[in-house]
Amino acid sequence: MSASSDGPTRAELTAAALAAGAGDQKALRTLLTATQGPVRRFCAHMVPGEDADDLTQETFLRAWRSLGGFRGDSSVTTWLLTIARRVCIEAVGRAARRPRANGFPATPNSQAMAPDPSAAQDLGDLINRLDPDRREAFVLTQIIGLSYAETAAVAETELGTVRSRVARARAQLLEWLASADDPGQKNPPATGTDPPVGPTNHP
Amino acid sequence: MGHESYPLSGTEDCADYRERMSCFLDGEGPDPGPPHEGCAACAAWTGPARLLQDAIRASAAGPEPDLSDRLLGAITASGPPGRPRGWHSRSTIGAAAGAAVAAIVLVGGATVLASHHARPAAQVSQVAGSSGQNPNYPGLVQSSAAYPEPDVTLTDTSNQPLNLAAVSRGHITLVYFGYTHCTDVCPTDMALDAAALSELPAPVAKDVQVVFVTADPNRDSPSVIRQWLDRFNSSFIGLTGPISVIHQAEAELDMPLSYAERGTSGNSSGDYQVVHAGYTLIFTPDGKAHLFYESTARPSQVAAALEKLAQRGFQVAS
Repeated sequence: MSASSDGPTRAELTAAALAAGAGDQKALRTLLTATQGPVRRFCAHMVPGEDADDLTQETFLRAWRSLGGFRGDSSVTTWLLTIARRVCIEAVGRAARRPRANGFPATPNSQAMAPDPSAAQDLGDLINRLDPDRREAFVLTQIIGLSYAETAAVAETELGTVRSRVARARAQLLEWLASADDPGQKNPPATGTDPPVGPTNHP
Repeated sequence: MGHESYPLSGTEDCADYRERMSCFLDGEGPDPGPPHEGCAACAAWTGPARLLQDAIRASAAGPEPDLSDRLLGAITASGPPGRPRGWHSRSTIGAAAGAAVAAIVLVGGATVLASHHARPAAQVSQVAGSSGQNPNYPGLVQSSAAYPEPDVTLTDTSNQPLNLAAVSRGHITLVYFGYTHCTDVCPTDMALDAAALSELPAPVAKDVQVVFVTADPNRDSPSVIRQWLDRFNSSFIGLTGPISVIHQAEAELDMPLSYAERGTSGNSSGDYQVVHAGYTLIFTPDGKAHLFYESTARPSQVAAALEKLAQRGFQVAS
């Protein structure tokens, strides 16, 4: 499932999560080693202004506290990402002071200005400039490697919405990349569902 | 949901084509074929989209810092893990996929074997042996016993009484017990069913219905269930009722009886989890279930099983 596919299988991860809850330190380490990558990548893209390591740690601490509620479902990664998402929404809400009940608030760096693609350090930079909803669907499917159905579950939305968000994120990135190659057509206006947010104290 | 403006210039057809191509690139839909009316812009879109996908996959495989020691330290310092009350044993059963978690709990004064992710273990015939794969219905599990749909009357999301056995007759019915506040298997399983349905040919799909029975009637009112199910598919049927009736249905299906597990965080408000069975039963038009699947099944596997059932005149056995 994960982009790096050499780790434990889903069933092995499930077993590790359950054993870890029962006090098995070795299983806990296996679990952490195998799942920290997707969690950290997700956090890094969803809250670019904050330390991804801190968000990752907060996610795992919360997961640890609710390990008894983990239902032995094999998608440990999906369960962890659901928790990571809440951690990230709270973090963005703190920074932007615009919490939203059921999703990511728009962040200044995603909507307020049209990105200058030639100034982007790499693809990751460009991805972080996507509208948060589209970015979330794009990161979960393309970088974490979740299926659309799993993404819909994590993002608390419908399958059709995931399809459209991924496609639109893809199209947006291609447009930015194309304009970076063509100096005559720089800084296309960013478009999105959410209105641009005003200046905030976001770093 | 309204139409979002498309970042690229183009028509609605372009937006539609590129969405279908995007799904195809991700293995989530069929090849859309050549673009509408030979649209050159759309034809030129696919190549860069593929390159972008490759580049992102390559960058996602790059090195990441190893936080294991830091995380392990923080977790160890935070104390023991949260666990449900009444949890007497926690053992993985074998190394089988979807490892079940067994817990002995007291429900209504009777000791029952409950599980977070239970199968009707005694009745399951693992047709293909240890892997749990079923050669006739890959990804699904076949039960040697036929479970009749429980004859219980609950309330649907229009506040109308609805009998589970009656609604199942004459249709293929996917029945799932869960709760809308669930953060893992329930939304995954509903999304799985919605995806499976979307893969079915229309003539088969029209005979398939999905019934979600809440295991949390305390919070899941008809309108709450409706709103939640609409996120997946507005045709899904939602049922609620007294917990005693829901338990009766679960018991008849050899499912563990669901129960609320109050949080270990000392949260006394509405914040609690519900332990419930984590699998979906497939009832054939004769009102009996021989097959079930867990959230690990792929939509294509569920769709293939439903199509096969339809082709066989809903006879499960080969």
